[in-house]
Amino acid sequence: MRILVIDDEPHAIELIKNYLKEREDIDEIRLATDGFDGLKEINEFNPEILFLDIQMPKISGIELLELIDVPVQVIFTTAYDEYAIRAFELNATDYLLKPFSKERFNKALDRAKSNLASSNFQDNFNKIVENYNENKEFINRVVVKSGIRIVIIPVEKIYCIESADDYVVILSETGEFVKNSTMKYFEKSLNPNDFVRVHRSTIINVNKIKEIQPYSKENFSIILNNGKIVRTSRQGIVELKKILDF
Amino acid sequence: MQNPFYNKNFTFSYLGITVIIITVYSVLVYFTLHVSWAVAVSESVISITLFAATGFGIWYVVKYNLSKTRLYEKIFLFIISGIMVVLVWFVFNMLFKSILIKLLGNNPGFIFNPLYHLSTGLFLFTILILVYQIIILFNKYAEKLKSEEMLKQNLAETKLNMLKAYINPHFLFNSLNSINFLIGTDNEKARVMIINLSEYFRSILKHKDQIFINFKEEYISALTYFKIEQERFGNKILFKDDIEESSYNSKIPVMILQPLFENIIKHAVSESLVAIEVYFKSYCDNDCLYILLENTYESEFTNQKKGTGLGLSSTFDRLYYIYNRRDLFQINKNEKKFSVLLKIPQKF
Repeated sequence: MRILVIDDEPHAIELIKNYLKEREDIDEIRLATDGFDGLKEINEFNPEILFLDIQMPKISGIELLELIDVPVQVIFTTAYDEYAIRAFELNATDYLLKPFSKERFNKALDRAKSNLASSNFQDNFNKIVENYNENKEFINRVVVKSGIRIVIIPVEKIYCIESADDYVVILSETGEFVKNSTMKYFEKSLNPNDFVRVHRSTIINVNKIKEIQPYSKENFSIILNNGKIVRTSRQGIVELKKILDF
Repeated sequence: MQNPFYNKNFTFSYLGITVIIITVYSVLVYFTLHVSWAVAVSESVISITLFAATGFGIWYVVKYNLSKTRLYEKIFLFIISGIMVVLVWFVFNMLFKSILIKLLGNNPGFIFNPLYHLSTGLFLFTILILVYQIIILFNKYAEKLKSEEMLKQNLAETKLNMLKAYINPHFLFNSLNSINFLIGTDNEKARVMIINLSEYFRSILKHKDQIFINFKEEYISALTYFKIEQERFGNKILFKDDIEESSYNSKIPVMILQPLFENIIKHAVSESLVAIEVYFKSYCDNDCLYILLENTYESEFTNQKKGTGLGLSSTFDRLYYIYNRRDLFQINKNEKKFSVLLKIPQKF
């Protein structure tokens, strides 16, 4: 088995390494101490099993999860994160609460191994991400992949988010990015005081509005600071009026 | 403070007392000046009612006087306002009676003795001022009781929150995980960590009912916490301190330093890919203990909202509840460094 461990604490990584050493079914172990490194390893090393910590610098384990698009068995490790634990309970292969015993560790690994054999993959991590964010405060950054680069977009730099089939397109000060997510997710996760779904297919950042012009009797055109013109729906304009108070 | 006439009870009592004084005054006038009952009563009604009406305004004199701090200013203001009030009252009193005489066609025996009236007026004025002063004192006392109660409640609340924060489960379980690794790999380090962890929790329990503590003890406790985190994060923390000898015996609110260190772990160390430099300095000056805690951070990508340090607001609150001052806590932030400066008054 090819295994990747992502954790920012050296002791935590070393412990897993020690536990793994005592097993005989491991072919190769790789280690990463942050999400960037971790994602690079996922792409290059193509691990079968991933031990993933939640609290990490720059991008969290949950954000990393949003970027994984290859099949892999994920075993989460965390010391204490009630949101994560609640999300895992519903959707994860397994999760280990630090500190964990060797027996518990082996059990999780065996479960992942048998999942591998029956090619029973978690093909969709979105559930975990959604459950996690639902309980938390609003997100304040979005992590996207652009080629092999990972880009972190602070939400205040977003102009608008548009739906495109199964994807969303995020227009921001740092560029246009595609993300495998839903409008519904963003509508729930972004602070409704800043972001309004003005149309079925568009969420805009109200702080980036340059002008609002009447377009027809009940519809408006919104011109954003980047020059983008957005149409509103009847419901959308009602929501916008509530926030902007006009 | 509000004009007490806004209070219905006060207004009714005021009117009631006015009626009582009118009665007493009538009797007094009747027996001392040997006039008819009709004259005594009308004299009393006119004088006292007029004075009672002036009394509404005197409240503002008393209130304005509160803003003066020097005694001679207060006395001067009372004398001036007293003379003015009594004079105005006197003039109106005379005028009113003159009009009455005109209307009646003859003088039924009204008193026009300036000395008599002025001394009566001065007496009434003094009484009224005293009543107002008593009301103010009473209100102040009630307010003080209330604010003390609130302060106590807030202190209790922050204490509870502090305890919760101290027995920070994330910290505890991660430390135990570290120990779990160190056992068998580096027993000595594992032992040190267990000792540090125990000492840290023991110090929390020991001081949990105190408000103040010696700086030295508080610093050692916070440092024990920080040492555990240093061990957890390997070489990611570079720590330096500079403690002025004289600061050791200063008094400091208990558990005030640890959250500042924890803040660095949360927002700088665990959000950074490179090592973080931390610098702690303390010194005494002008009856104050100054504490500076400075750290570098990676500004890139660092969450702006997170970076403003929501955890620090509770430190600010506590200092405010304890010292009733808002200028004891300062945050400075630039591209590379984040620092907090605490000012702990030693005499208050």
